[in-house]
Amino acid sequence: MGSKYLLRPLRVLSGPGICPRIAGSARMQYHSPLTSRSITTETPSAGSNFTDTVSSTLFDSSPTTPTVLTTIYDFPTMEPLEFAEYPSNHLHLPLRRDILHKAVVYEGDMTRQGTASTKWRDDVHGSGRKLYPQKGTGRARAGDKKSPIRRGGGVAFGPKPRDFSTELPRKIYDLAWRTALSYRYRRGELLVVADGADIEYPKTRFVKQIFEKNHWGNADGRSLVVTESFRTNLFRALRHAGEEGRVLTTDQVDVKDLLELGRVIIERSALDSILREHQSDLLGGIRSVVAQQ
Amino acid sequence: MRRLSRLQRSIDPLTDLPKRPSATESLCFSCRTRNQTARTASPFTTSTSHPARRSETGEVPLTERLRRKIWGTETPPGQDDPYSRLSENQQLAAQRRPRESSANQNTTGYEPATTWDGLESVGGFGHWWKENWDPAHKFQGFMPSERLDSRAALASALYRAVVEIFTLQGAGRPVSDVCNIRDDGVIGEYWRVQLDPSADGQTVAISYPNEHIRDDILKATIPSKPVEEVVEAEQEAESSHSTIPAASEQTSILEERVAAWGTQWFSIPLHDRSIKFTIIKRVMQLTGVRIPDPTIQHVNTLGALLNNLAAAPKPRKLADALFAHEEMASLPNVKLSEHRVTPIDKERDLGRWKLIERELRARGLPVTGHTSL
Repeated sequence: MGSKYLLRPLRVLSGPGICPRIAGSARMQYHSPLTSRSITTETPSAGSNFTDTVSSTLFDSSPTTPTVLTTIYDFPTMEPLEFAEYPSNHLHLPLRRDILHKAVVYEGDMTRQGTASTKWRDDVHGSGRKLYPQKGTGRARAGDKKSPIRRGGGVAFGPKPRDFSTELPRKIYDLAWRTALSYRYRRGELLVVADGADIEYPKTRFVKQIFEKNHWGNADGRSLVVTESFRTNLFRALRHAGEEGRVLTTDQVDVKDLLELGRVIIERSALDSILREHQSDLLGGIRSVVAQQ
Repeated sequence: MRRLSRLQRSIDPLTDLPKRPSATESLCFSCRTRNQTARTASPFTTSTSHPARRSETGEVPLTERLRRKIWGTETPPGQDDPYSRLSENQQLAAQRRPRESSANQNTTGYEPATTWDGLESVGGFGHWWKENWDPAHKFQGFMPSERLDSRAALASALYRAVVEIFTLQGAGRPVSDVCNIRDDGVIGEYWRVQLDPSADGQTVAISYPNEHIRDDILKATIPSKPVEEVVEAEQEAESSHSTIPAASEQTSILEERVAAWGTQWFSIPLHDRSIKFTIIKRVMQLTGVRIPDPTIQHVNTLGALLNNLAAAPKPRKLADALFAHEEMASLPNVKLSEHRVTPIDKERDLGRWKLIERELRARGLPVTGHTSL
């Protein structure tokens, strides 16, 4: 499986901590348009009240890697709070359907219960006595009554409990996670919200109202909300509004969930932890099996 | 449990004695025997005799005639009908009931409803939540839920946002205050403000026709208003809304304004991140259109932002996309349809469908689909 991805000699990243902490003041490279008014004196450009803090130093990537911009919204009201930046190899990867397909199949295999079970002739309860003599009856020869060709006998080649899970290289799976998030980002369907996303009342009718006003509901393709931890009101309210969307915590979500519904509304800390957990192909010291962007 | 037997009174067999056939009827043997068995099987009925019917016919029952003979008078003392199967209390109640009902009818004029239209519904909690909980727990989002879609309206909103933000910036106030402006009617004639970017795009000259407009904008952005003032402002806004012209007129007014601004202001750059953020936030608040992150990433001028705002949404159905495709629609040998072309559509085009339908109905056959389904 891996040979398909050994496309070119891969860049070896130069160790952890190579991404400078992305701080707002360091990146304020643009000059504001100077505003002049005809009836008053010319005014200086406004001081930046823009705070931009990507909260993690763990996003290890090359210093030259360009970043992409995300808007951080307040959760239920969806008021834009600030811009944040994420490395391009986290949220701006090109779409790789093959990698997404591998990840979804891998997850599906892993999720299979594998408990189907039947009894072979030895497992069936009963005697091993020969039913009638081998010769002289005029009938076809027969052994015991547990034979698979007899009613009440064992099942030949029937299912037995087993583990269906398959294997996928960790680096491909991690790339699939970030490809899924990038796919959402590129389509404008990744909404990053501030930490502590919860709603005021644990009422399904209230969360339905929120989804309808924000164009997130059934008519707009449903939405997945991902939070870092359990939020009582939000989870209780959305539990009975499955037709409008789903809510999952970071440890419950997988690649298929990210790809399923109309959009993904994700808490900033949840996004950070997902990206932190799924960057094995970016970390230095280990050669990557897939091409770098 | 033993069933309590009702004591038979000696007078009872006489009360409902049926009349004997007056004349011998000429019936066949089987019919006669059937009649006789029917009579002997149920000589008495358990249903009470109907006194009202008797009184209508003027017939005096046998028991009453016996009483009269015993007492020797036409009005014997005691109960009206001592041999009735009803108890004394039941008889009294039966006498009282018609009187009460007639009294009710007379006073209230009550008429029972025949349909449930207009009747008060009693019980259940569904209405309670809808009528009481929902109005008290309205969700108020940052953006309006209705999106503006016409290019003129979107351009006006963008122009307004830029004017407001540059005004605040010029006055040295934090530009984030711009989102405090909640009422449409408060800020005045922002469209009369001129934005003139310099040739290199680094500066923008903003010229106000008078001081009032600038002051109005600055006044409207004061963040914390006391509650009373908010109420007043809402009232003002309502009164100003009442003078707003009809939608079509408004659209033409907006188009005129947008044309008057020209295209110079489209080149105003969005390099400053705080200005860009504030403009986008304010535009979202005014238009209800969420601007996706990739668009924010690559948009560098106001014109590009407007083009993205006013871009037609992606069609949700293939037919819509095909109809929007001019070249496809103009091909002579291609016909577009909004839905799948079925055999019925083909027959209808030939003018044969009416006949087929009529014949199918006449034979009791299904017009569409299958009987087995």
